Amino acid sequence: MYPLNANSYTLLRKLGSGSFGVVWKARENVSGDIIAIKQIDLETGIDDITDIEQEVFMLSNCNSSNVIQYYGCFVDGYTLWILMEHMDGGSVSGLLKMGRLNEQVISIILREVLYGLNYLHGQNKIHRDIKAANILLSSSTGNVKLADFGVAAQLSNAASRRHTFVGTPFWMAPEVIQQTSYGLAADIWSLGITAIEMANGIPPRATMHPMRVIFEIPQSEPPKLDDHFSPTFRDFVSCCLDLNPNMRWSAKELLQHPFIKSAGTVKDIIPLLVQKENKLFDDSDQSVLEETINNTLKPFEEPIAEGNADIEDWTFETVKKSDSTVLGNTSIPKNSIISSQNKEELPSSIKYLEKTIMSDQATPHPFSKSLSEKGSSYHKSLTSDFAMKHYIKSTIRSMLLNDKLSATQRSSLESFYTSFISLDKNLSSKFVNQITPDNRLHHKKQKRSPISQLLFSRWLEETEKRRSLNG
Amino acid sequence: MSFLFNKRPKSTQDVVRCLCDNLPKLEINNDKKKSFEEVSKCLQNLRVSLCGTAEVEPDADLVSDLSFQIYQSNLPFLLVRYLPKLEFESKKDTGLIFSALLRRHVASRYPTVDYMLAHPQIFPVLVSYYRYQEVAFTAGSILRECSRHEALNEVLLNSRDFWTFFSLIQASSFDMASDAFSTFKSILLNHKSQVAEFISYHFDEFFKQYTVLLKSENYVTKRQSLKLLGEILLNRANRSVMTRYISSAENLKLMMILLRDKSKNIQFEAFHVFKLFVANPEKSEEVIEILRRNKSKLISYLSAFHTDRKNDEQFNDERAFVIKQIERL
Repeated sequence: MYPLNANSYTLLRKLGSGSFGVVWKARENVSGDIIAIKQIDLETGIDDITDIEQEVFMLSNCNSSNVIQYYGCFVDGYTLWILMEHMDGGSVSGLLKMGRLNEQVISIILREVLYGLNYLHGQNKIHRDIKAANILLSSSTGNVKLADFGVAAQLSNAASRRHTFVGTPFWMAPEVIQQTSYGLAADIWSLGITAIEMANGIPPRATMHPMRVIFEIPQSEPPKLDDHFSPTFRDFVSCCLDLNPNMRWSAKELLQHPFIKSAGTVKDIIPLLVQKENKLFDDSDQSVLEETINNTLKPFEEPIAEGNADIEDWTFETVKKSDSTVLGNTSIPKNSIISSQNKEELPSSIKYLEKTIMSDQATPHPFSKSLSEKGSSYHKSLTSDFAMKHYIKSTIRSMLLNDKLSATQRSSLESFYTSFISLDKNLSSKFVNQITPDNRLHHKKQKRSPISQLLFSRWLEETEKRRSLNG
Repeated sequence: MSFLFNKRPKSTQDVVRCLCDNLPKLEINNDKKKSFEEVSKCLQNLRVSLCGTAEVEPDADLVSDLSFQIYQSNLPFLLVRYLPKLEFESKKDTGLIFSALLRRHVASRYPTVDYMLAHPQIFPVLVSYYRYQEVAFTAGSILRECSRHEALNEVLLNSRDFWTFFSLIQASSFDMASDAFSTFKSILLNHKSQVAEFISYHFDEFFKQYTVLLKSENYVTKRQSLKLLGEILLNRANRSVMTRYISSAENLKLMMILLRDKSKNIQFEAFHVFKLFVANPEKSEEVIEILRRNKSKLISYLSAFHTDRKNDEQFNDERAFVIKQIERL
C-alpha cells in the first residue's frame, strides 16, 4: 500500500513515545496522506529483534475498527519504521490534560475499547498496555481505537526491564507484576485502572514512587471509585478490578454491563475534541517550532562502536607455500612496503644478498640455519611484533660474528641489516609478517590428545547451556 | 453461533461440502458475495468445531467425523489453493484450522501429516505465498506448524523451495522478512539430527548461501542470521558441521570482520562464533596462521571488547578464555 523506504516520507511532528520507540506524524510525499510513523532504534533500543516482531505481527494481524490500522514497515539503516493510521484527535491522555471526563464520555470510550479488546481476546491476543495514552481518537468521526501493542515483551528483556517498571506500573495487573503466568484478564485490570484514570484525571497511586507501586498493587485491596460517581460506574470498575483474574468479567461480559449499555454514540465525543483543538491552537508557537523537523534531520544516526577507528585492520594476506629457501620468500613487492626514501637501497641489497648466497652452494645458508637452530627460543619470543623484530636483529648480529662468513657475505648482511633497521615501524612490521610464516610451517604438527577434545566438548556444552539461559 | 445452528443446523458433511462447492466460486465473478459469506460462515464454523472457544472444548467425536470428511474431500488442498481469495478473518480461520488439524493425533499417528505427505504439492504453493503480503502470514503459520513434524520438515528441507528462503528473508518489508525468517529458523532448529545430516550433505552450497546473508546490507538480516548461525553451530547434533565450518580460514576472516562491525550487537553475535575457532583444540593450519598473524591486534582488541557488559558473567569468562588461548599461540 505505502512505499517501503524512508525517502518517501516527511516527518512532521513528534506525537510521543510508545513501547520501544518514538511516534511521528508524517506525510507520504506522493499522495500527501497523513500517517503515523513509529521509529524504533534496533541497535540500542532493544536486545532481541524478535520482541519487535511480536508487536508488528500483532498490529498487522488486526482488522478491527477499534484497533489502529497498520500499513507496513521497513528497516532503514538501524531504524525500523512502522507505518500506521494517524488519529488526529490524539490520545485520551491528551484529552485528560483539559480536565476530567464526565461519565457519559467515559462510557462511550470504554465501550469502544471493549469492542477492540473483545476482538483481540477472541483471537487469544493480549494487548498488555491498556491506558489512556494508548487509546486514540478521531476528531472527525469520534472513533476510538487501541494502539501500541507488545509492551509485555519487555518483561523478559533485561535491557528494558527498568523502562517497563518505571514507565507504566500504575496500570499493571497484580499477576503481571508478580510474573506469574497471566492471560487476557490482565487487560481487564488495566481497563479498570484506565476507567479510574479517566474519572479522576490520574491513575490510582499516581503520586507514589513507581517502585513502591509495584509492591503495593499485588498486596492491597483493589482501588475503587469514591461516592461521587454513579453506582453503575463504580460497579463496572469493581467488575474489572478483582485481585483474582478468574473473578474479573471478560470483555464480552463487560459489554453487557449496564454502565456500558447506556453509553451514547461516538459522535458525542467530537465536541470535546473540537474544544481540545481550539485549545491546542493557542499553543501554535510550539507546534510551529516542531514543524521545522523534517526527514533530512534523521532522528537516529548509526552508532559507531568506540575505539574502532584506533585499531588497524586485520592482516589476512597469505604467503604462498613453497619449498624454496627462506630468502626466496623474502622478495617483497615494491608497492607494498618500500617507502620512497628507501626505494633504491633495499631492493639492490636484497638482490645482492640472494645472489651471493646462491653462488656459495658449498656453504650452508647461514640465515635459515640460524633460525632453525634457535627454534626453541624463537617460539618463546613470538609474543609480539616488537619481539620478533628484535629477534631478527639479534639473529643478524650473531650471524655477522660468524668467522666462516666470506667477505662478500658479510658485507651483504651488513647492508641488509642497515636497511632493515632504517625501515619505519609499519614497514618493518609488514616485513616481519611476510617472513615469519615459513618458519611456522617447519613446526611439526602437534597431535592433540583425546583429553583436549573432551574438554572442548564440555566447554561447548557449557557455553550453549549458559547462552540458552541468557537468551 | 447458536443463532446459526438454530436457524440452519449443518451436519459435518454439509459444512465440508459447502466449502468444497463455494471455494472454486470465489474465482468466478458472478454472485461472488454470496460465496464469500458462505465460505466465511463455514470456516468460522469449522474453526470453532476444531479449536473450541474460550468456554467450550472441541467435541472429540465431532472432530473425528469432521476430519474424516475433510481428508475425504481433499479440503486442505482446496483451502491452500484458494487462500489468496479469502477475506481477512477467513485467512486467519484457515491458519487456525490447519494448526488444529496438524496437532490432532490418533494414538501415535497424525492423520493430517499423512494427508500432507500424500499431497506434497501443497508446499511449493505455501512457500510461493511469501510473495504476497495478504497471504504470507497465514502460509507462514501453516509452514511452521508443518515443520514441527519431522516427516514434513524433511519434505521442506529437501525441496527446492527451501533454498528460496535465503532470498525471502531479505525482503524489504520487515514483517514479511521476519515471518520468513521465523519459518527458516523453525525448519533448521526443530529436528536436530535431520538438519545435521542435511547441512553436512549440502555443506558447501548451504554455507555459500548463508555467507550472502552474513554479508547483507540489511542490518536485520545480518544480525539475525549471525545469531542463528551461532545456534546452529552450537547444536550438539551439528558437531561435524561445526568442526568443518571452523576449519575454514575464509569463515574465520568473515567472523573477524564482523567482530569489527559498526554495530555493537553484530560484534557481540560475531564473538560467539569467533570463540569457537579459538577454542578448537584441533585448529587447522590456515586458522592458526591467521590467528597468529593477528595475535597482538586480537589481544588488544578483545581486551577492550564490550567492557560495558559488567553484569554478563558468561561473556566475560569467555572473553578472558579466548584471550588466554590466543596468547598461547
